[in-house]
Amino acid sequence: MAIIFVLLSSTSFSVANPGGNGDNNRDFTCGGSCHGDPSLSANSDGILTIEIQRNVYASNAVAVHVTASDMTLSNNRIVGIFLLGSLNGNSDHPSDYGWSIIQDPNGGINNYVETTVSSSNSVTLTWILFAPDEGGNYNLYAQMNHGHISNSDNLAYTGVSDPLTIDVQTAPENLPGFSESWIAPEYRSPGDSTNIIIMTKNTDSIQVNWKLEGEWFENLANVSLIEKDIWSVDIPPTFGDNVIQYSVITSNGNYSIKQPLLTVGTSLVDFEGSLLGARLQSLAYATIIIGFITTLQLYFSKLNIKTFQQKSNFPKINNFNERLVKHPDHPGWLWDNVENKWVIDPDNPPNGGVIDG
Amino acid sequence: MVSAATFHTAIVEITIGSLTLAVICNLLCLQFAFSIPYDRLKLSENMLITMDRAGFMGALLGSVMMPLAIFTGTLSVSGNPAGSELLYNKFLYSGLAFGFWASYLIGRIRMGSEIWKSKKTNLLQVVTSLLAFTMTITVASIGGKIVRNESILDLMPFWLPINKTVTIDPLISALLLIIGIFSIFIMYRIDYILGSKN
Repeated sequence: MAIIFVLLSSTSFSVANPGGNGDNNRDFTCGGSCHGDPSLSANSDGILTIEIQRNVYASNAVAVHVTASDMTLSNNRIVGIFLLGSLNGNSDHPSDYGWSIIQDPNGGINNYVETTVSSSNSVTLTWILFAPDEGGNYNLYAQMNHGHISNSDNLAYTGVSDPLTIDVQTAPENLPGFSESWIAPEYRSPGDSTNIIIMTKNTDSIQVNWKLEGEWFENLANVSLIEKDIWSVDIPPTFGDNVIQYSVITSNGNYSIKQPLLTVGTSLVDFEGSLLGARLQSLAYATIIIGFITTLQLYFSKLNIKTFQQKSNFPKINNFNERLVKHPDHPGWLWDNVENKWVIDPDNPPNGGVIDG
Repeated sequence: MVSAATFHTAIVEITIGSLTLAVICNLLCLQFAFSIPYDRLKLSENMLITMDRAGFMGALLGSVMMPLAIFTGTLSVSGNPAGSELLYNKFLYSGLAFGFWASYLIGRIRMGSEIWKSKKTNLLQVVTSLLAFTMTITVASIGGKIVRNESILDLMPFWLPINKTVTIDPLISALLLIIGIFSIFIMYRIDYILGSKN
């Protein structure tokens, strides 16, 4: 009972997902989830800012930086951050307003990502987007969802940034950049030395610099042209948690544009288990355990029977002594109650053991 | 139409509830062979017999429901163990849990309530059911990890590994399976021979 009480006491009654919900494409507050329900949510005490580089050209890549700081988090320090085109609760994805995600902060192509915040209590996440095809003013918003360390009411905390209005300018003719049909690779297998393919537009040449995440020294990558606007970039293989950051400069005779910094991570080693293997291994474990424990049961039970038999033999000897009764009128003799006859008392034989001749 | 996930939830609740009852009753059955220092906690002979029967029935019901729980769980969760160590572990811990519970039941059926009277068989039975319960809640926790990315075992300072697994070649697994079946057969044969001699 005490264990059950402790477990229940440490349980949150919130219907939110304290362990996170995974990266995905979502609307504002997940379209009316716990973080959006006024009775289940509360305002975050954190600060959320959203920034973008100055000149944004239609149909060209742009980096959007979202910084979340000073929020009081739950013990697991998970925060989920959205990049949104509106705050309606539906059709809020940036793609609904003409934006296209080339890469999210975790390497995927989602507008909602989760991350663990370090003890500095500040995190900056960067989305790389294609700007809309048409010039004009566009709004982008950031939103964050998180828990709270002292959360007696079990509320889901949420915060929204001010809108960032972006003036998307019509791109000059022949501006070099990434192709709209190109999606940046998220991961490579450990040790995979396959070149990364980059697709561009209006580009005569590209230059790629790469570095390991967290380092400052940049290396120049070897680039070869496969066909017009398709490039093969030689970036060294990685292992473990290594992430490579690379920046691309797209050039033609008129322009040279430094594109936003991209990343490529290392995927986990592929797990080689099979369904058949799992079933066989599971059954093998079960039979081995049944065989072992039932053998132990047999061994212990036989041991008990042996001990019991040894113990039960002892009273028989005592009983044998009890069946022989001394009689004062017949010294040297014992009366056998079972056989109903007189027998010689071995401890005190009649006539001192002398047999009459 | 009710989805497999709903059936899975109901069946898991029956399974875990029955097995929890079984393990609590089995712990109390320690009093068959071991005296406890506090008179207030001592159970009467009749109560101990009830504990034995309740533990047995709980384990029986849980073990019968366990294959159904595994089956509905397989239907309700997308993906297969080929791509996830967590799912692979769910299979392995299910096998371990089933093995321990089956051993407990075999012992109880073969020896009856007399199994509690000897200290050695009593302890073996209690330890078996505790291990079985540990494996069972580990399986249940893996389900929580898959669906909600958290489980009640997160509160524990340490537990059995569930994110890493050991894979054995299917041929070696098949060999182990044959050895397991053979050992059970040999055990019964020896039991029969000894029984005939006595």
